Amino acid sequence: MFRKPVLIVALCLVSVALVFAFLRERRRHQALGTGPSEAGGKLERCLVCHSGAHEDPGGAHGAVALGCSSCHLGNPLSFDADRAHADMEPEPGALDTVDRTCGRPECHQRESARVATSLMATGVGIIAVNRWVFGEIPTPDGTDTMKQLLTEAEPTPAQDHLRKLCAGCHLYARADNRDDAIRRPGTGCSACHYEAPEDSATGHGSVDGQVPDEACLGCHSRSGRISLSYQGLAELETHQPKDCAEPTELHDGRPACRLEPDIHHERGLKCVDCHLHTDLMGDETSHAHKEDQVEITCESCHGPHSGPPASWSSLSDEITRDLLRLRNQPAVPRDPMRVGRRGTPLWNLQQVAGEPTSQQLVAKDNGRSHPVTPTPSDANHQLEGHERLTCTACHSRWAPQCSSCHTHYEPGGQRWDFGKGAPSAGAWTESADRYDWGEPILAVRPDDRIAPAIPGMILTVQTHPTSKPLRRRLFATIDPHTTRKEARSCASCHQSASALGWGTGTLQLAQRLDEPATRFEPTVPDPDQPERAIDGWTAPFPAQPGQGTRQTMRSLSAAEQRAVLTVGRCLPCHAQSSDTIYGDFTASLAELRQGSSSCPAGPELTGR
Amino acid sequence: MTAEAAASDARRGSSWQLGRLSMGTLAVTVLSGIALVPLYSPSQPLASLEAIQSGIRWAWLLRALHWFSALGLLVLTLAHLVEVLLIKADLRLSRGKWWRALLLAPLVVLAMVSGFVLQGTADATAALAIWRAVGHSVPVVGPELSQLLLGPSATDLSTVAIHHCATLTLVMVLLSAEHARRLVADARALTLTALATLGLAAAIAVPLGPAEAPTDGTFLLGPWYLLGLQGALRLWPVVVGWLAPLVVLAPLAALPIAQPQQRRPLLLATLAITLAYLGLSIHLLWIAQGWLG
Repeated sequence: MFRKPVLIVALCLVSVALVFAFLRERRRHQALGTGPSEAGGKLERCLVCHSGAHEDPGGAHGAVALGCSSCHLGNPLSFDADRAHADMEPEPGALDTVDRTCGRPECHQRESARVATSLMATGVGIIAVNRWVFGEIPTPDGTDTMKQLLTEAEPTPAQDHLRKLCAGCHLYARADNRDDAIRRPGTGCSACHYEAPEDSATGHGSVDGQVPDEACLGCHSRSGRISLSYQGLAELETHQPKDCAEPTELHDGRPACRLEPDIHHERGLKCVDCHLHTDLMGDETSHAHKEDQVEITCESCHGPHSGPPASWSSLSDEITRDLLRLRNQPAVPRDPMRVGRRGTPLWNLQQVAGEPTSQQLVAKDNGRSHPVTPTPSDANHQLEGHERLTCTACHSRWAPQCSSCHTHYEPGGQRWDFGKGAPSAGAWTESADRYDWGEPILAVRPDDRIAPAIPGMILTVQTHPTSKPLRRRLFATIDPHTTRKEARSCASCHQSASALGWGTGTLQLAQRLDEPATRFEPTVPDPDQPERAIDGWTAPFPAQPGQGTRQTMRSLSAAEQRAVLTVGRCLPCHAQSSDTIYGDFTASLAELRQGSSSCPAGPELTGR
Repeated sequence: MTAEAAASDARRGSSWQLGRLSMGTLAVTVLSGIALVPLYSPSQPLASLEAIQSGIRWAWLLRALHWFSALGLLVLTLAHLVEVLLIKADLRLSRGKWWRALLLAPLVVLAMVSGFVLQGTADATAALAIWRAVGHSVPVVGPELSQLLLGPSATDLSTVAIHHCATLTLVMVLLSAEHARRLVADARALTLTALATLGLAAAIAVPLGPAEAPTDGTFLLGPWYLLGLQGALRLWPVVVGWLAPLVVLAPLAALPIAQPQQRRPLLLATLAITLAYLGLSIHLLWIAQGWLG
């Protein structure tokens, strides 16, 4: 074993091996960068290679303070690319790893815990409503989350419907498995808080508290399309003639028309200037529906304010304290403190210095102040019968309406399944002749207030070959985000069949109260019920009002419709809200009926 | 090789050669270990290892030399032991010398286990926790023994490092010096083992365990020389950690005091217990990994 030839052979083999070793050492040396190996006082060897200015998010999340691994995980101790990148999180903020990234105890644990319960992450509302509509659960309120929906081994028809049409928009969705309308990079926290650089292939964008409207646009350009409407954009169906004054294109190429934007948008307010952190990021409560989670109301800023005024000196909300500090605001701003429906302070709604009755909204991105106009106490806002109206019922100028939208199912087809991240059998297809827009329909919300509504879920679906097809025509209340200072006209509600939910047709309104009832001729009658329009929500003066996407949401009842139309009959002569007959309209009607006042017969009114 | 040396080898049998090579690997291990000491920090074990592996010039080769020579030491020591038993060379040793020589086998294993723990990788951290549990399971002195050998802290490996670099090394060098009747390996054995380990180190990349433990419910395995001990240790720390090794060594320790006719049954018992021990370890590994469903 110790003879010379053995040693010679060994020497030869070792020489060859050493050549490999030299090559390996050279490769190792060449692969190493020259950047620092520390960040924020700890070892962060990622920076040895990733030290370019374009790779630095800057600001509070700058590489010099946090390095890379605080957000991107991986192995910050290694100089070797493969080892350093092992178990790396390419999309920091993703909710399935957020406990180790943004939500780590020393960073944003409180916020990430809230986000996990927010509707943008859980989607419990949309899931429950969908299952209720399909007849799978008894009420539109449920607790199933998007995560459960997407991991369900054998999805029900309703779950399959959501997984193939709607589940691409939620905070768990990663870049490779989400709706095409979401064009910004980032998921979870980063879906809102990450701003991509111009060259997103090699560079790193900024990460901060600013949330541009584009962050909301991806998801909220679908369904109710509030992000589009806010900017004055109405989507068109691809094959639809672009018969509008200003055709344009959406961020993802969909055709659209430019219409009148929301007044708040026109004045430069971003979505987050109005919406509270609890509206968007949740409050650690799993709310059933969007309207439950959103705290902000028109009244929060414009009044009238109910309840005793709150004082900044009594502020106990830690998050608001932190927001004031981070936004360089006074720790105790001038009173009064305005709050949302559940008491969360509007830190950026502040009293104007030296003007005790004036308030201003501070824009969150640039600090510009916007004067806030209080709701006037005039005849328009104190009309008898309007007590139940929401601000948006009158001040929403238009809303997207797709009365020809329809969803159908093709068992033999295939469609992308967001649960599997791959196509699966069975295709849900949405079709529409055209997308329209117009003054919204009036509906009664579960809280009994009257609000705008648009077509919600209109579908015919046979969930089983032997089962009876489900035919659903449900409308949904909405804040269309098309607010204007000028309210819709009186006639647009009181002399309008479409506002009452009857659909498109000709309304013939007898002017005299003692004349026979109103007549309605649908433009396209419903084949099953010819007295109602095919695009209507409800029949005229129905025994049962039209159903909404919540259990107690409905169209106006027969009595409410009659009351609305009664005013419509008076409008030709009494067009102004300040007219004396509206001072006490009930008394005016009683007088008219008793003959103590007269009303000359006018021409029969025709509305739409 | 001189004719005199060849004659000496023939007289002593091939176990002499395996013994010489063991001494050679021990020398290479100690020398490469000494070179690694300045590069290693017990308070930042993984950071040190990562730097050695890919951040410092040629340090990876030093580590590979240490790794392969240690592996060679283990294999050659065990092979030397088997050969000694087969050719009955143990009969030439006094009772005390045999026991001290026998002690070298568990010492090499302990040195390798401590070296593995010193890496600070996720599997090494898991191994440290397991060995701490094994230490605690020793009756009466368990906690004290565990602290003495492994130190008080799970994050600072100073105690393990001291035992690895000093205690175990020193004892192994002294015992092997007494056993071989020389302090340092002869030049030829040293040259051959150095060349062999250098060749292997240069040609084959030495693995380094993962930095983070898996999150999918599986646990990390130790290297092959632990033969799945981490799985077995996790389930039966007392049996696999110290009871079974003692039972394996006991018949061998009893050889010098046994009657000649008892030698064969004792060796067979050792073989059976060793095989059972290995089989059990592998079986428990399969259970721990959930491979049996």
